[in-house]
Amino acid sequence: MAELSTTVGDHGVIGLTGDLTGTAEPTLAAAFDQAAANGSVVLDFSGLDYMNSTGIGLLVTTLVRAQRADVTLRACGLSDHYREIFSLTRLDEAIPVFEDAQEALAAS
Amino acid sequence: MQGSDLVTAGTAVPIPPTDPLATLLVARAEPVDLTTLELASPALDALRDAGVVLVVPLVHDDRLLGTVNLGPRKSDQDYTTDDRSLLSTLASQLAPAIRLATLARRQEAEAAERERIAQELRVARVIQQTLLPTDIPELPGWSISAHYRPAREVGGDIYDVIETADGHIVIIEGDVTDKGVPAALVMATCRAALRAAADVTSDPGHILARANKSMVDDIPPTMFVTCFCAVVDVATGRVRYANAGHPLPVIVNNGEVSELRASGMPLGLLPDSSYEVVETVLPVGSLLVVASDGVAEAHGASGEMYGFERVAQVVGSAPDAPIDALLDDVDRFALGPQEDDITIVALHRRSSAAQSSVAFSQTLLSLELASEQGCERDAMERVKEVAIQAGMDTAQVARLGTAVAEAVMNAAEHGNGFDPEAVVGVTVTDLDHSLLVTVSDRGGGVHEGDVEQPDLEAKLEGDQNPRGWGRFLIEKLVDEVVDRSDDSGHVLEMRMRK
Repeated sequence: MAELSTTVGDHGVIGLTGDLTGTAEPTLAAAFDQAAANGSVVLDFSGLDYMNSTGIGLLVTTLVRAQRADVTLRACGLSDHYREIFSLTRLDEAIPVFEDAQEALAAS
Repeated sequence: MQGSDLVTAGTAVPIPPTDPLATLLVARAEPVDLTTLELASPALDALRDAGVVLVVPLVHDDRLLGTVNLGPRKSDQDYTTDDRSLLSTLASQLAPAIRLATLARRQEAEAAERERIAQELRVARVIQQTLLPTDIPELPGWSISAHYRPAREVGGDIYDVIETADGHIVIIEGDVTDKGVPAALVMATCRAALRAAADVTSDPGHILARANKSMVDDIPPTMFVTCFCAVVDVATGRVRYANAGHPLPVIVNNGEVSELRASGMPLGLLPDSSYEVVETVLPVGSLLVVASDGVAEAHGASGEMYGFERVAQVVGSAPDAPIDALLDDVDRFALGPQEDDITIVALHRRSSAAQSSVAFSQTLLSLELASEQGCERDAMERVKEVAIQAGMDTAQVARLGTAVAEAVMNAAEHGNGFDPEAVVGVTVTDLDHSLLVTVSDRGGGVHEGDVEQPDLEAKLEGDQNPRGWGRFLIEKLVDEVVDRSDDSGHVLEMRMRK
């Protein structure tokens, strides 16, 4: 049950670790601002433990910001379960999903 | 196409096929000078009035497709032989071209019409699917399965499985005369009538009689519905049944087959039909199978019928999956496309009630949580733990976990307003093939279920709050969701197959 922590790597890749819930807002926003300078952002979910509906709401908010800033947003490292959640909510239509960061970056 | 639709030097003058001029034009099949023609013909008079001097008929296959009407030449000279020769050549090209264009247009219109009808049938099929029972009740010790396969896009078979409050299952299977759209419409009427009757009485004969009465008025006089109705006591296996002309259901027990016979007229024919009620018992291990005549009347390679004996034989040898076995066998046997709608309902009594209540309805977990932020996390882990122990499939466990977390979040936030004194109750019960998880709160406040469906595009446009996914996810992830509210609070029931 860990708060969200993020690492911002090269090429705008944000590694997410812990829980993505409503309380993660400031953490995710800060990471996004940092990574967005790159022009495109990749959210790497491989370290994710848990995401709930408020976390999904955060992703939507992040997506809105990305669209406004003309920054592309992609996702990778999702477990089967969270891949399914992305599909049910149709988030995968707005945030393209890839297996890993390498694939996501290659898609640019 | 008769008459003249082509306008050259004047107005269009129709030439009715009965007018002598039409016959003459077809016979001559060359340009005709009207100034010298003597013929009693209203069309001829009309043409002359319109100033037409020369008529060039367009003839194809001995039919007058139209005419080219010419007024006097501008130079006031007569039309020469060369002129007429040119006009004849023109006509001989025009006539077949017009014919072809007409046929092509007609074919397009027919194709468009066929597509429109096909589309309507697709829509009707979707509508009909929503009218069929989506969830068969799960009862400890019993397996109920049903399969419906119409011969066309929509069909005229009905089935219904209703669980009553007093521990009975009502099984209904019906077959409307005919198939396709008319039958489907009658089926919808019949289903409504049967459901209404089953609400009011649990006597199978009375169910049929009441439904029959209302249907006699509501369905076309030439149509009727055969129907079988059984009321089963879940605890004792006692069955009371009535039949309105439907193919005889069978009970298969240890290889022995017995037919269930009860007399009565099909529904929708006579207003005051009454239905004999017969009683029997379904012993432990036995199987009740009701199949519409699309099964027994399927025709094989040598034209012979599948027959009831074979139905009984096949289901008797596969009591755990009677419907799959029967469908496989019928499909192998039958020649050509499916002739009639196929509906099969099977009821298998696996164990007695005494055994059932011990093995198949067991409370695995009971929690009380304080309504605060983050309380769902721990609850989710504990539910997932017992679900794994109960043998639930991994992917299902993940889905159930997320759904429970969302339900608990909703209960704490919307149900209890995050009041730390208010409790969120979580229970998990093992129902053998599935788990039942209940999440309860004291019922105040608006529940997320009352809010509009989340739409990603709307959220991105800013038309919807970015949140609001909780209830949506629960319904998508869990097999069955039921809300119950009363004075003591609100309970969300989630059923998940293992």
